[in-house]
Amino acid sequence: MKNTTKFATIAVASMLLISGCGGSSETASQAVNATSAAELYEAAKAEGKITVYGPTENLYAAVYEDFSAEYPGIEIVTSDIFGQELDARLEGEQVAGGFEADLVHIGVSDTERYNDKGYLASFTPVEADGLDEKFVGPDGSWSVPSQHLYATAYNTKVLSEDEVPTTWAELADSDLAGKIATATPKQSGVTPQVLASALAARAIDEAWVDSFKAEARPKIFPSVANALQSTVTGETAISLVAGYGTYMRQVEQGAPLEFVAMDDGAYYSDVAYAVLDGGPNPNAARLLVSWMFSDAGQASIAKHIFEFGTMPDAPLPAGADKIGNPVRLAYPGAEKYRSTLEMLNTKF
Amino acid sequence: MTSIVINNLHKSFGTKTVLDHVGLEVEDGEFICLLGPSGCGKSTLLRSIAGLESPEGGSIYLGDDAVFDNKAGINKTPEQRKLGMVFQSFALWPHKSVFENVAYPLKRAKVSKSEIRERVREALIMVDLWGHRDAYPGTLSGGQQQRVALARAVVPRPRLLLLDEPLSSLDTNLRAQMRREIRRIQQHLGATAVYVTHDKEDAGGLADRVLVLQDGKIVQQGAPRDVFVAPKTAFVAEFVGFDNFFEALVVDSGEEQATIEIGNGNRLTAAVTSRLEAGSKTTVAIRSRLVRVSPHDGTPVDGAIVGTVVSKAHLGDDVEIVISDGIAEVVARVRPGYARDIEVGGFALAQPPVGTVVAVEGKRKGAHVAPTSPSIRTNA
Repeated sequence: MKNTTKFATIAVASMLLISGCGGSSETASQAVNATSAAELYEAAKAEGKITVYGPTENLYAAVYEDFSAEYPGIEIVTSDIFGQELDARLEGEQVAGGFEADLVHIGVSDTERYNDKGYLASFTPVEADGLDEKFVGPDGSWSVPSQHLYATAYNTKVLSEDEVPTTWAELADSDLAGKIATATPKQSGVTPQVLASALAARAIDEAWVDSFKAEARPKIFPSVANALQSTVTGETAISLVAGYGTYMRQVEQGAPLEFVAMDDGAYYSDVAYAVLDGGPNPNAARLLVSWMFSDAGQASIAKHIFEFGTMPDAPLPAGADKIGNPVRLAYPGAEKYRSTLEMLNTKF
Repeated sequence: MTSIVINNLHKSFGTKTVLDHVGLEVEDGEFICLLGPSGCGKSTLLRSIAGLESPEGGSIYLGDDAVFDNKAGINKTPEQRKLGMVFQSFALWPHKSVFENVAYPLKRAKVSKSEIRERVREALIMVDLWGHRDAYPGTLSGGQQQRVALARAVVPRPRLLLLDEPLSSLDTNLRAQMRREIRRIQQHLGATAVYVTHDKEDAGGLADRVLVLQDGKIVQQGAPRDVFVAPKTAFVAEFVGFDNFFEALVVDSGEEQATIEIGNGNRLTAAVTSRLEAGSKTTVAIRSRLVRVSPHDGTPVDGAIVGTVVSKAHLGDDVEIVISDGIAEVVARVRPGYARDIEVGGFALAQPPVGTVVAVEGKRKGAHVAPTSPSIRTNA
């Protein structure tokens, strides 16, 4: 019961209401066959509302405000929800008569699952000319307007610049013994995802994992956030996995951190929007997704949440020019991720 | 309300079979519980009925309505199946009031506002939450949230009510209260209900019929009392709380009663569900709560195990006594306040000291089971 109460409290606290002048009903309207954002907006105004479910929607508040400034009259309701709770919520909505949410904003591994369940509507963003097709799911079941960069962050008061590793091999070296923080690699999450992507790209191999454990002797924390906090406080020198957005927010608060990507691979994680089939506000949902690929949307994503837009010539988030040009690692697919997780469970 | 007919339903996850050609019929208005440990297939079976899983073969009929038929290419969506479902996680919307949560299925079905108000009122009165209609889920207790979920499930007047471990996140007292509430509401509505649980108290307290699943198959079904008193296999016996298991030799057997030998040549008389072959081996199970311990002079006696108390432990109100005859060990749980558990002259404080020679018998309803052969049970 405690867990449930906590969940409900968190969900209420994280709910956002933006541009609160909508008048949507809970009965689903029909998606129009629009080829432009203007056509979508006309239909979306009648709906007046979008509901978005995702793990960190609270971080996107400023982005959604930018959308609302361009397209007034559409209320955006968000819920911070993910994993099994999101699964249960969507199943509950299906049984209760249809989706309450219009969009899910999640990683590609989850969109694959939801597509298999038949949850997702086919939609290709309008006015997204030039978008690489690798950022669109099969039959337009999802689309990826931005990527989140995961690399390492170190404490500048603890580690000098010449001690900072620049390759995966150096990360597993005994020179860093006891200085690296990592979230437990055994538990599904971004850390095993990063390692799976590096393994798939052959930036590391199983021997690297053995060496990392035996030589670098990392300190293991329950989560990526806990690991990074240990680096912020100086308890550890470097965090194996840090999100660029999180790093930037820490720096804004005065944390003595620098961000460094290994030359032979940094993980760019796709963050996808998927339209739920039968959601009550299909046109408003399609408008928001399309806007994310517009110049204004791409700029807003970079500015407010430090993600990397997927459109050609998308502006970089602040400070990203210092990261260099590491090899881009991508999610290797569910099967490779699962086998990596199994391997990591035998090692740690 | 509706009946359910399931034929030959099967489903695998990778190489693991989770539903192994399951067949099942549920009568209109019947309350059944699917009982079993994690991974036995009970939730997959429920979710297949709901349309949240797609089996690889077989069929599911709700009354005359084929909601899934692999050969006919039918697989209706959860929404089309017109059922109510309660989830373990409640799955409420935190940003909607209690009233709005319960009204949701009716709004989606485009029911008129006046009818929505009347039906939500009726549902919330039924779960005693009309006074909380403007509250938000986050301000309610776990039990209240589950009652909101129950009201939301019944408000569209579904033909079938599905409940997926709805009480597992509640504490013991609340659980017993909600169990009574669910049964009352189901009987009030006359709804057909399928309830998934791994908790035998839920199953015993709610169901007209309990179905025990193992490895994707229904291995036993019947009235709760029949399943709990006379399990047909060692798996079911262990799952429903039997905790003494012995290898045994069948000495003699009729259709309803058998003599078996366990441990150091001790013989017990037992009830059986069918004749066993004399000389065959079987496994016997007896509930520790249904073991009677008596002082004894050590001479062999038919129908009881004569052994020595080798250990004692206090477990809350109970005392757990372990008795050995040198080969077999029997665990007995007795409550010292109830002197009849320790009969024949009585022990000091109703507790035999370690080293005491005692006779151990199964009380009536103690059970013997065979995992691979016909089951037997005590008639002691």
